Amino acid sequence: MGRFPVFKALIGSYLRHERGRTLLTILGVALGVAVLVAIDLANESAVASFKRTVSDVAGRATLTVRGNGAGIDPALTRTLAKAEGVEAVAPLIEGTATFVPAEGSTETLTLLAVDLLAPGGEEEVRDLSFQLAENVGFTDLLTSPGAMIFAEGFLNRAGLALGERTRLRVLGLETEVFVAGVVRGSTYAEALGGNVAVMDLGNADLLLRRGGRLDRIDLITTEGLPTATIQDRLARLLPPTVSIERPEARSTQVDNMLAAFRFNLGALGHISLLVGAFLIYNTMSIAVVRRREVIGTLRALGISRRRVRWAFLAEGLLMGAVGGVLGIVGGIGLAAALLDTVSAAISINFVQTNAESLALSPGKLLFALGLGMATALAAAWGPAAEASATPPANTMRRGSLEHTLRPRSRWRLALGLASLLAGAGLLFLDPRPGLPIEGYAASLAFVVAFLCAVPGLLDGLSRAAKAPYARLFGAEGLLAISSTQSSLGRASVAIGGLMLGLGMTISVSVMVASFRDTVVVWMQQVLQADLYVSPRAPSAVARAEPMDAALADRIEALDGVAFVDPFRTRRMDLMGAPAFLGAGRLEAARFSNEDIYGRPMAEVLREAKANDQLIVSEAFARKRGLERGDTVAVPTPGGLREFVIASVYYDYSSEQGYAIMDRELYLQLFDDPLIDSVAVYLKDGADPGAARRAIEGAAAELGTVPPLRISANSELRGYALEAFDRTFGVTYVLQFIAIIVAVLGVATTLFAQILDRADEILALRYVGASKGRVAKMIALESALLGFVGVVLGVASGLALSWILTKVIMIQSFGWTIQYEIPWLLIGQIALVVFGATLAASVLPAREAVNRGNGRSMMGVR
Amino acid sequence: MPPAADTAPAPQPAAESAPSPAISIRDVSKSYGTERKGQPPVPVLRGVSLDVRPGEFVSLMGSSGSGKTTLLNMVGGLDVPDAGIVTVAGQNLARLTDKQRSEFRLRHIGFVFQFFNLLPNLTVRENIALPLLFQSRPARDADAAAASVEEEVGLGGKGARRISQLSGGEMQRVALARALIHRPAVLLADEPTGNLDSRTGETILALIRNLAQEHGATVLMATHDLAATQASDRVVRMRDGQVVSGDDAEGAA
Repeated sequence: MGRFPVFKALIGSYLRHERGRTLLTILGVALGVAVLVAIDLANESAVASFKRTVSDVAGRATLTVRGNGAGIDPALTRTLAKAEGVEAVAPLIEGTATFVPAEGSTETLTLLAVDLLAPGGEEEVRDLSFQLAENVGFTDLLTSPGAMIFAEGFLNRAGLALGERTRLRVLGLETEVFVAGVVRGSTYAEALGGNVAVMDLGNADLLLRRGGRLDRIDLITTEGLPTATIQDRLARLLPPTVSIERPEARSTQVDNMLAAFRFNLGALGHISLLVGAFLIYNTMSIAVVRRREVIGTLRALGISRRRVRWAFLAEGLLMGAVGGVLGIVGGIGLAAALLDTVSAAISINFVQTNAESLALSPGKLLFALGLGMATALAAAWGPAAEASATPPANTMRRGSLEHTLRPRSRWRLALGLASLLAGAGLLFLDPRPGLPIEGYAASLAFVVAFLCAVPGLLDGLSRAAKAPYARLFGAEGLLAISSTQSSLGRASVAIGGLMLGLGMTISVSVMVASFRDTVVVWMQQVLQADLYVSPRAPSAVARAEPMDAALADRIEALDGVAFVDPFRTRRMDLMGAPAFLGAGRLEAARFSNEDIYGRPMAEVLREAKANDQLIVSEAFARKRGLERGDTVAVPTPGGLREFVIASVYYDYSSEQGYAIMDRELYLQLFDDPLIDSVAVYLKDGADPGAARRAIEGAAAELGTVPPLRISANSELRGYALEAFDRTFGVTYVLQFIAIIVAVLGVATTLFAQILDRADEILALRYVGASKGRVAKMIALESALLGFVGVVLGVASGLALSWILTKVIMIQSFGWTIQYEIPWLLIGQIALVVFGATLAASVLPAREAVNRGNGRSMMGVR
Repeated sequence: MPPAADTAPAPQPAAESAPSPAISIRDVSKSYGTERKGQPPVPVLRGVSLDVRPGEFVSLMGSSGSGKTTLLNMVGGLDVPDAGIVTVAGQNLARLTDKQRSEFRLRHIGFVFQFFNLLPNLTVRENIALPLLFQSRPARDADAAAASVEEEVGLGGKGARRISQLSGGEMQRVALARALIHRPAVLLADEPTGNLDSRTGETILALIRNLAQEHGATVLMATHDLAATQASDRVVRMRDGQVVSGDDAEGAA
């Protein structure tokens, strides 16, 4: 028997013979681990790509001075260069450009304007060594406005040669440039996907329209001196609109910004593993029931309970390891498929990232494997205890062992009540923006409370259902109830799994539906114009470049146009966190009949304009703990300016939040000739089609406008809802997996019952129950489990959906969502799951009716 | 032509002079296993013939593996012979479909097992009433009939009890009541005293005999306990799948 005789006798050969069960157990772990790994990996990879970029772009810089949207006076470079503890300074303007010649090109380039005249600092900070084209001198780089040095990767992709001329579009303007040189082997350039073009600061100012100001200054501080001390000292030299930080602070900031997004997705992943645990419990129960006679024999031979238990725990661990490894492989595949979606979601909502490969971290994969094994071990604990706890005499005898679970145990009642109270208590805490820890802790507490209630509820319900079931379905109904009551433990686990899977599906569905409805209503309120004009984004993950404000004036002069609202958005750090500063014509509110916090929007915005006040989005206000009447400090080229908040408004377009000022005020503060979109209000009776053509004509006449997207009001809403549905696509996959695993849990429970009650079922066949009647009995039992599971699933789903919508969404994103229950959708989901549990009884029923074949009650086979 | 699928096949009328046997087994053979895996089939019954008269109590004696349980399964319609004919209450079971055989069992056959095989989560009364409920008889009728049989087997007043609250002897009484409630033509018993002490076993055997007589049931009982056979009218001995003595119904009793 080798070194592990008990394991071999109890586990070894069965794993091969019970192939279906073994596979199902492995599947339970593998699916959970796969979802977990996929979510984590796709997330990590997308963020790691961003962080790598941050780190490579920072190069050897130890400190970075940022203009925070308002820019930096170039004179500051000299001040910093002379400061004590500073070894090198490298000023920078960063912009983007689109490669024009390629038809339908999505190639965007990062334009880096560096000080080529003072290359010392640049070389020390960044790794951007380049080789000039023949016939191009260094002075050409400084004097020719179109001289650019491109990264080798881009030149190869674009088919450009050294010295060749080509066209780029920068801030809406097409401009001719030439390939003055090539950057080779630069980690810096590679960090940006090779799409990098470098030019001199002096030339860049015109092209990138920064009004003579810098975006950033990277510094190298003296080695051996504490960076923090130097940072403090330099901070005193800086104007209030400029900040100084370590380069890695940007990554930390992004980590904080993405924490809620990642936490939410991660939570879904862990729920999948938890649902998997229920499946493992069931399949392990089947193993125990099947091997009961062998256990009895071994126990009679003197094998201790402990060794029996450990043998089954070892099986659980083995299944966990195999399932975990398969889950990791599957998860990596799934992550590769999800990477684009997650990258796009992060790029659109948070920061630009372009992950092309997965960032595999052995530590994290090992952690997932460990978690899978731990889950399998925990799930195997109950069945292993069941196997070991029964004395040999009982195990040798035929019949069920499932008599251990008391439906109304005191400790379960106490745990359930304590969880309920804890959950309710957590909900009373004020939702704070940040990580939705209280929200999820409350959800977990409610899930535990629901799980504690399952055995008691199932017992009570099955007792209550006995008479009507027997009346409706005759003997089969009576037997179905009897079978459920005699296996309350296993049935409760199956129902728990079903409840959890369905609860998760319903809660997410309700949240998504409520969110969608809220967004629809919100769009009706904020989208009042007839047409919206904006530049086409070069790709799904890239933001569109801005355009010249002159276009808005041209449009306003067109026939049929009543009013235009040019809108400008700038990313900047506002009161310690990244946000958007928006500028538009607040008088556009006169087209709206909506109220804002109980007052007509037109009135509120008129006052805001008159008093140079801001309106801020809910997310902006919540994250900073601000309300109406508070002030917001905005960094401007003229210094830090404070503005009073006139009102807080609902907005669902950015979780970082918006602070919006009137365009006139904005133009006074910022020398910025650019806009990001134009909302066009047409005169009554004007033809939108004609207006659209006229706008296209005006853009063509202007000649400096990037390709435009002109959308009618309804079209824009359609695009927004499409994007919304795409964003939540991932959750549907997870929900589907959870439901499948939960339904498999019901099927395996029925299998276990059938194996456990094989003799009873056979006795029924002797009494005269036909195969059809036995199958009907199994189906009725499945229906009972399905019904209870669906009822509890819907109930827990609704409770969780409320927490998700009213607590977690606010904690995560700072958004108030109108809670609405899509009853029809819930009904459909419940019906499908109930149908699936009924369908899940087919195989167990077949097993049950076939067990009578060639088997006898009477000792001889 | 077999009878309609959902009606119980009725026993055929008795012949005019000598009554037809309640159970007629003619040259029945049965083997298990296939040659697929290179193992020859194992013969369990080899040309067994046996008649049991209506109302007769016959014991099948034999050691383990002698084929008595397989024979009971054939009579109960749970298994079909490879060769030969099994007729119960005038019905050739081989002509019935699986569903019809179930229906036949439900109406004409009762079973008693060594380990009682009761349903632990049903009450005594519900266990007993099960065959009638399977026959789709109204619950009230089934309940009343079960109450009556409870009295007959000496379980009066214990109808509401759970199975786990009963002693072994009481459990076997419940099993007997369940086997007789639908007034079967044939009662099949497999080691009914095998799990009971000798005194309780004697009581149960007496009960089987008396109740079978009262209900007019023919009894075929498999046992390897010589003492148990004393309650029967005739003892049929089996060895290696063959009847070695007692197959002559006329010469017995």
